Amino acid sequence: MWAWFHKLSSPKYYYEWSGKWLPWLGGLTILLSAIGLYWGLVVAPTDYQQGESYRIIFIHVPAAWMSMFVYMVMASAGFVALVWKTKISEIVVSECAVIGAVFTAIALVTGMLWGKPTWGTYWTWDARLTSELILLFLYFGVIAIYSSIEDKRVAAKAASMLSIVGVINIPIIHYSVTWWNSLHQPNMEIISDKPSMDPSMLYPLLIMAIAFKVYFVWVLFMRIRNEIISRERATKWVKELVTAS
Amino acid sequence: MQEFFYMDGKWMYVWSSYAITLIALVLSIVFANSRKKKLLKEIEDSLED
Repeated sequence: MWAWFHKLSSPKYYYEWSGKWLPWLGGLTILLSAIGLYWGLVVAPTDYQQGESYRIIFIHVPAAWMSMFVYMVMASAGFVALVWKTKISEIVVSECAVIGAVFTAIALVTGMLWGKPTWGTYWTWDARLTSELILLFLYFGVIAIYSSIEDKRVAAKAASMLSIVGVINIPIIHYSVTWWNSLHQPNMEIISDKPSMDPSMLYPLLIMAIAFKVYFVWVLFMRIRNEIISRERATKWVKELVTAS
Repeated sequence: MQEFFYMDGKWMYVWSSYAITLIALVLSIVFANSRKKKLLKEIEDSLED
């Protein structure tokens, strides 16, 4: 197992290995999204309190979950990059930041569009909304640091440090609705004998959450492969790859 | 069908959420693909030089 992980940290091996997964990940994303969207938009019943506007949940909640999940992946890769200094983990940090920022922006914008018909306002300086906005700024910070330093090994080190420091914001986002009075609804209880959502709404939500996760892996692989080519352009194997294609 | 698109009068909020998400997610893939093509072209040109 460890030998395989060690092998995976080689850019050439990673490039070849990840390439085999791309069509499967793309196909699975499309399939799961189609099922989740059909179930969520057509089959799931109307919410008795919020009416039809609740259907934003099928993209807002998975995007919000992903905004935190991607951050944890980025910080974990940052830790590996600082301790073991592997090139792949350094690349994972920079590429996760871009994807994570996209998910966070989606969570914020869809949340605003859900907030207007539900709360009567697009935005309020509520603990959940503000901590999620801080998360977006943390992603921007990691992107800015990585882009502004020319030596990419040094840039990755600085970006990794910021990503690890920013982990403190993740429990704040999660527990913000418990610790402070909030307009935002409480955290959903999914793993429970009595989930806080009816299965007719919960299942499409979970399918969309899996679809977003598979999409993340798909785009992450594509972006890592690009960065590998960019960094390794002077090597023999990349030149051979270009000549062969 | 009209009821489905009308979303009980909340169509603007619901459909703009889905449209923005779709555009953002598709653009991420398009950018990744176009960067790959650009990189391969750059390396190919440098090899010809």
